[in-house]
Amino acid sequence: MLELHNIVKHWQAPGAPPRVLLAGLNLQVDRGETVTVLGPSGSGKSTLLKIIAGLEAADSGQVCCEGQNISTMPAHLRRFALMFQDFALFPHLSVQDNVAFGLVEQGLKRNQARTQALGMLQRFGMAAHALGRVWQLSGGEQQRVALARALITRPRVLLLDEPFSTLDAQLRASMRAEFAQHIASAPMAVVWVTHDETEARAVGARGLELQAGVLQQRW
Amino acid sequence: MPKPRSARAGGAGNWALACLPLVFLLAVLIAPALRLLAEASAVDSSDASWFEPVQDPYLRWRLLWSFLQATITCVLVLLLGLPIAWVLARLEFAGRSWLLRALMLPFVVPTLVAAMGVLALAGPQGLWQRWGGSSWQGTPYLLLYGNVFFNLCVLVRAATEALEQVSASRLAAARTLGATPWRAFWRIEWPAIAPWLMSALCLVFLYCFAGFGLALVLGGPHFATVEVEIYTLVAYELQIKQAGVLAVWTLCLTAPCALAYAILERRLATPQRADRIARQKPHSVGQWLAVGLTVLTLGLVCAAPVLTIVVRALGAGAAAWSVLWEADTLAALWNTVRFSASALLLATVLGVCHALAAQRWALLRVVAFLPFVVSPVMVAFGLLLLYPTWTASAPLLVAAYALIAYPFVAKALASALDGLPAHYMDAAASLGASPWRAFWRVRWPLLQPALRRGMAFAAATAVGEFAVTLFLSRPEWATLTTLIYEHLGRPGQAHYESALVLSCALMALAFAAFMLLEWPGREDHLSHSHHA
Repeated sequence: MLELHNIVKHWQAPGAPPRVLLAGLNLQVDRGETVTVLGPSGSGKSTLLKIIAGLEAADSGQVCCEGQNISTMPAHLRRFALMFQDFALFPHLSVQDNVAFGLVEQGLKRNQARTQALGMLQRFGMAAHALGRVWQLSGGEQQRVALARALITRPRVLLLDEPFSTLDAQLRASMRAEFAQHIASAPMAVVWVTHDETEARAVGARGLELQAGVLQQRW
Repeated sequence: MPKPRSARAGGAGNWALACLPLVFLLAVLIAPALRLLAEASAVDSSDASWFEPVQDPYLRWRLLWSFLQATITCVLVLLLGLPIAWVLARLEFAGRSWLLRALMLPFVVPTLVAAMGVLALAGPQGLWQRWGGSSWQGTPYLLLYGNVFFNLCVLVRAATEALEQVSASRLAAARTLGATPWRAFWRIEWPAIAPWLMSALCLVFLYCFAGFGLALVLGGPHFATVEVEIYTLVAYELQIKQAGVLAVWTLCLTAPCALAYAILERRLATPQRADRIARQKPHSVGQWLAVGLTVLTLGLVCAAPVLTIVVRALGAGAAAWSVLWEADTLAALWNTVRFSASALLLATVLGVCHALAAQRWALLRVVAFLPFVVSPVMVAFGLLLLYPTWTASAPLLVAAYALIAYPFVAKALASALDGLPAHYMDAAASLGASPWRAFWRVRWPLLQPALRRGMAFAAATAVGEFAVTLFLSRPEWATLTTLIYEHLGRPGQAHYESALVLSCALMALAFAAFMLLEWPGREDHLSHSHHA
């Protein structure tokens, strides 16, 4: 489904010599599989996700999906969804319009998109907040809206960048179970990046660690 | 691995965006400035020399006084403004948000109206003299008061914003490591706010050095600045070459300050995210006293001249108010509105293109400050020399207006773009939005409040424009500012009162233009973006 071949990426801090962030990295994730990628801060996990999403270009290597090389394909054509660490919900749109955003981009009429978004929000127990603003929501609620927004377009690949890093421990455990349930219901490849091993073991059937620019199997 | 196509397309798009403001700047600012330089270079010993401004005692005093009054204003606004900013940033009291809003007042008041206000308060026959004080006519205080009126708010706003960026945890760490409040201020807060203060002071210096309207009306024969001298040499003495030499000297003196400002602004453009220090209610007599002094100082410096105009105009009687219905006034009002509206339209297009292109090219940011370096008088003078046949043409006049107004739009938008989290566009792209769609659905709506704010300042600036109109317009194109100046130049109390009434009308027009665009209560989504 999703394949990365020999991905190389260098990174250079201002005034410092360039260093290798990803050194010929390979990865394969099948449809319906959730792979967790562990690694300390600065190891290149977020960069890896951005390369998969098409938001950043690798220095060399190939990104393939369903057998097609999509390395030069712009992000908006890939039909991947990326969930950001701080959710990146749009503050000028209502909760419902945030969720409907991707559907409108797929060409759906705004009203139809809103109806579908409302249905999705009901699944996530957030319908009461549909017309509210995103900054009025709690951290956990924003998390649900972000996942609903990511899933509504039925992406081929779901990329999650430390989705629970801003939540407290108790909320994290309950959200983890809820997320796993929603993700399992959609047929897609999932790459879940985290630095928390407990979280990684709870959600990922396969665990990989990003070390010295390559992925190594942990379980 | 090649870059995704959208990234490659960005470079060409950026060139297209940058093209319009760059061509405009080249035609309306850089080429006229070079023409001015060429005019000055062509001097020979018979009419003027390069060193005349330092050899001739009269011109030397003009240059020296321009420098001195700008420096003194910088010191005054720093001494008055920093404590006020501290009170506004650290203390929570009833009316604080109103005070912050009122700080925008001097940005909206046209220069000539401010000059009229200072005259009505402290000039001959002013309120101060009526109450037994002596008139400040013939002293440097009138001009300094006018300068402080305009520039105190520049510093207070910058310093308040800077103090709000100071990290609470760093300050707490310093205190727990044994620093007294004063030492903590000096070692933690001061280094954090110093670049902001320097940036504001550079701007204050430039405004004062290159200021024209205030110096023309308040400076009098002895304390007028070099800008007034250039105007006099061109308009009354036809000493074009001597004026050119003086203009080049002025440019050389202001350029380092403008460069410093541009560099500091670029440095401050990085988004700041600090754990802010929570404001406290005043809990000691000293703190309440500080609040009282803040209100008093802002009232005396910023509100008094404006209120004095209104009070004196209201007391002027029906005869003075009849000036509003005269044919000249209605024509001037129409000219003000049409020139300002056209300039605002052009300034908005230029400002949007400039700000968007400057996101990728840092050098373009510096270029946006060029209209601040070259004063309106020099712009007008340069245009006069470069395009002599178009001197009294409406497009040239509107272009000059737009040149002065568009940095406000570009600056407001550039700041908003800096504060816009980059991953919003990434999120939109990952949800299927093309770069153009992501811009249209995410970035553009989030930039609206900043755009409106920039346009509001640009509109207020255009409505109150004075120097360029004086140089470039035809007699039948008189605007409200030039009409006020005309009345002020005629003898007799009746003309003075007419000028007061017209100042009220101009102020109302500037406020209306500002409020129409920057209506209070409109939501700024970006202010919520860090919470969402």
